[in-house]
Amino acid sequence: MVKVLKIIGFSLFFIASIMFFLPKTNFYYLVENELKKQNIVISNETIIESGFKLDIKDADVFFNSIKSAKVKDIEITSLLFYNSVDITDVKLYALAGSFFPTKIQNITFRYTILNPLNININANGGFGKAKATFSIVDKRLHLTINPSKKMLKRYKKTLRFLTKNKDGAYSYDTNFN
Amino acid sequence: MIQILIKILTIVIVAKFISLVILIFLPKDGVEQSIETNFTPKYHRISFKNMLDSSKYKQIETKKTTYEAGIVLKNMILKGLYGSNSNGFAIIALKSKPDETSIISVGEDFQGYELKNILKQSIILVKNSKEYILKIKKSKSKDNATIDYVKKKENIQDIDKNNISKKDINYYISNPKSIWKDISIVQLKDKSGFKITRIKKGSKMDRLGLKKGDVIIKANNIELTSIKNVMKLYKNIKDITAMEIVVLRNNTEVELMYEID
Repeated sequence: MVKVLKIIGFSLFFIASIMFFLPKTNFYYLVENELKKQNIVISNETIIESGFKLDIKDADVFFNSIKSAKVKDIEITSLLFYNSVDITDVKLYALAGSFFPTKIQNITFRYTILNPLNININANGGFGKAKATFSIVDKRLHLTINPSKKMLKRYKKTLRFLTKNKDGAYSYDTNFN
Repeated sequence: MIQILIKILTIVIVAKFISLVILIFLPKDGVEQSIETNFTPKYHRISFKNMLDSSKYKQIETKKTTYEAGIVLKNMILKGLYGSNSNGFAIIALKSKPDETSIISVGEDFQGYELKNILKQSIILVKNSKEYILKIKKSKSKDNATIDYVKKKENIQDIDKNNISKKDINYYISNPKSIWKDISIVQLKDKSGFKITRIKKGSKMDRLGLKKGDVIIKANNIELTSIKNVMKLYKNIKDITAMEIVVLRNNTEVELMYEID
C-alpha cells in the first residue's frame, strides 16, 4: 500500500515538475502562430511567466490588420488537472461596437478533470452575463446570455441571431466541425 | 530519507530535460502586428499646384476613370465599410433581404462577387474579371453606428487658407521656445495624447485651427503616446511636405490637414 502511495506521489510530483518547467511563453508563441493563420494577431503585449502561470498584459488584438480589441490582462493557469484562462477588461473597437457593447469585464475559461469532456466559459460585461459550454468531443458550443438592459435596448438586431428562452435568456448553439 | 531526496532530484532533472526537449520544437518568437510608422500622412491633399504637374494629373485621372467605368450594382446595399484599400470589411445586404447583412473582408466572396478594394464611400467588387462599384447607402438613422464611424473618420477640417510655410517651420526649429509662447500642452494621464491647455489668440498655432481643450492624438501616422514620439516627429519636421494632425474635440476625432509650402 505504501509503495502504491509512493508511486502516486512521485507521479504527481513529476507532472507538477513538468508543468512548472514547461516553456509557457513558447507555448503562447505557438498559439499566436496558429491564430495568425486565422488573421488574428495579438500584439504589443507584455508576457510574464511565473511558476504555473502565464500573464499577458495590455494586449492589442488585430483582426485582418485592423485593431479590434484591447485586453488588459490574460492569466493562463495550467495544473494539468485544472486549467483556466482569465481574461479581464476587454475593450472592443468601433466595428464590433456596431453589434455588441464594447466593454467586457471578464471572460473565464475553465477545464477540470472533474468534467473532462467540457470546457466551461463564463463572461460578463456591457452585454449582460453569459455562460457557455464547449463540448470537446462534439466540438459544439452552447451559449446562454442574460442580456443587460443596454443590450436589449440598443442591440436588438444582434439578439435576433439568438433563440429566446422562456426565462428571458437567449441561447445560441454552433458546431465547429 | 536520502534515497527519497535523490529520487525527487532525479524527477526534477528529468522534468527539466523534457521541458528543454519540448522547447526545441516550439517557436522562439511570437507574432507582432507591424504598423508602418513614417512621417508622411496616409494621403495627400491635391493642391492646384500639383494639378499643373501634368504627370501627376494624368496618374490621378487614370485611376478615377477606372473606378468610374465599374458597373453600378443595383441588387445589393452597402450598409457600412471599415478600413481602406486592401484592408478592411464591408457590410453588404441584398436588396431583397435588407436585414440579412454579411460582413465581407477584402478578398472574400459575396454572391459570386469578390471584394477587391475599399474606397472612401464605396467598394469595388469583381466578377468574371469585370469591376463593379457599390456605393454606401445613405441613412438618416442615428443608430447606424458603422456609417457614423465612417462619417467620423471623414470629418476632415479644411484649413486651406492656413497652410504652413517653410519659413514658419524653420522659425520654430531655430526658436523652439517660441512654440511654448504660442501654445501650452500637457500629456494626458493615460498617455493617449496631449491636451492643449492654452493657445495664444492670433498666433500661428491658433490660425492652424487648433483649439483650447483639443487632445492631439496623432500626427502624420504617429500616435503621440510619449514625449519620445513627439520628439521623433519634431526631428523629422524639416523633411515633411504635408502634415496631418488628428485631435479629439468634444469626443469626436477631427483631422486637420496642412500642406507645407
